[in-house]
Amino acid sequence: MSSEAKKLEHDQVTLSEFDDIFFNILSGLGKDAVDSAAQCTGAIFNLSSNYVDRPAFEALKKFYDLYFSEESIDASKDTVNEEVDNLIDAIQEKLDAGEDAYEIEEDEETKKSRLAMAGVQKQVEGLITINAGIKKQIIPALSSMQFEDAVSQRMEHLLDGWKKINEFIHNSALLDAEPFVRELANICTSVEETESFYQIMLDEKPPEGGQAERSVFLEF
Amino acid sequence: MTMAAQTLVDNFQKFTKESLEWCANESEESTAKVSQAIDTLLNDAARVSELSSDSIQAISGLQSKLKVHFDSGSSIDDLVETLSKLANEHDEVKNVIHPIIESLQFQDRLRQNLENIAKMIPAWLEARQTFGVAASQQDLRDVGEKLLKLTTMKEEREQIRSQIEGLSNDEAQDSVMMF
Repeated sequence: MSSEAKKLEHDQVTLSEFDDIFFNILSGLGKDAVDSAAQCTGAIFNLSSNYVDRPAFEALKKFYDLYFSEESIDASKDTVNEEVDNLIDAIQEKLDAGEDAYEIEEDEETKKSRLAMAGVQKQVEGLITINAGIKKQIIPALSSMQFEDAVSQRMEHLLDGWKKINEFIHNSALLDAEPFVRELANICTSVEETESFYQIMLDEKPPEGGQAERSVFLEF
Repeated sequence: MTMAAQTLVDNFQKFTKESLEWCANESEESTAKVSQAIDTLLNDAARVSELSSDSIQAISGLQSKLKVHFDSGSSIDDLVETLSKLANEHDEVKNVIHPIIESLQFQDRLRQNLENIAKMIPAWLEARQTFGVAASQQDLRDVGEKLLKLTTMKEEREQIRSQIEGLSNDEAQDSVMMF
């Protein structure tokens, strides 16, 4: 992080510049909070390594690295899902035309991404079906991973929300804000968060469906 | 009924506060699971047999202390001090206690981060209301100084100083982390 503050070119700071400065501060602080959450998880992982069976710990660590690696799975997940959907459509078209479905071509990169995602999926399934004894051992570490993910998502949603509100205030402040608020609800990804959003922002219950229970992979 | 921009801002501020509190609570719940970890450790006969009776007693004591801490929500500083003392007295349990101390400290740090963010948003909103369409550099520095006062960690102050020039800098205290 640079310790040098950006020099503004003029004596006056416009409201828009002031907001940008604050959002930069907020983003930096949010990143610090997420880093603290990650370090908290790291410490619990160190503790877990003292008592979790080696193979279970290795699997857990590998999964953690995959899930929270620099290049987020989320980034590639959508692309892979889209490509798989296209693949299925292509197969369906072939079948509808009475042709052999095995002749569908898939480029090498797409295939690699799809197989990598399948590997992650297998790790998740392995953890979910893990026997009760081992599951009990890894709960602290899993729980910690979940909270790190949840904190990271919530922080991201808040920053995104404030940025959108800022744009709205600067460009459309005189308009009715309600349609914008309903659009803004899309930043929420979990049921808990969505309920809280609708309750506070619109004083009503959220519409049925649409949101995942939580973004996490195991409930304890 | 139409919604005014000010209502939007006020409500999102409330939503932000609640979300940040939710994050802090999630973090506490997650850290509280370390008690379960110690429970598992104590139930591991093979490992327990390698420890001296003094150390086993120390780990059991540690578990009780953690339980009291998580049930009462008492100060992390006191608990960290007790845990550090315990680690110094029983060399064998250091590798169990140190990660717990670290975890508690990071959790405390996270809570402070979140609480401070929650305090800064109203300060920003209040300032932007008084500015009108523009503010002077001095106004900006005044807001920066206000934000600095809402921090508890050097890293937070550095974030603010990285965005607003000419702010006071009298850092005397080191980071709150022990490790």
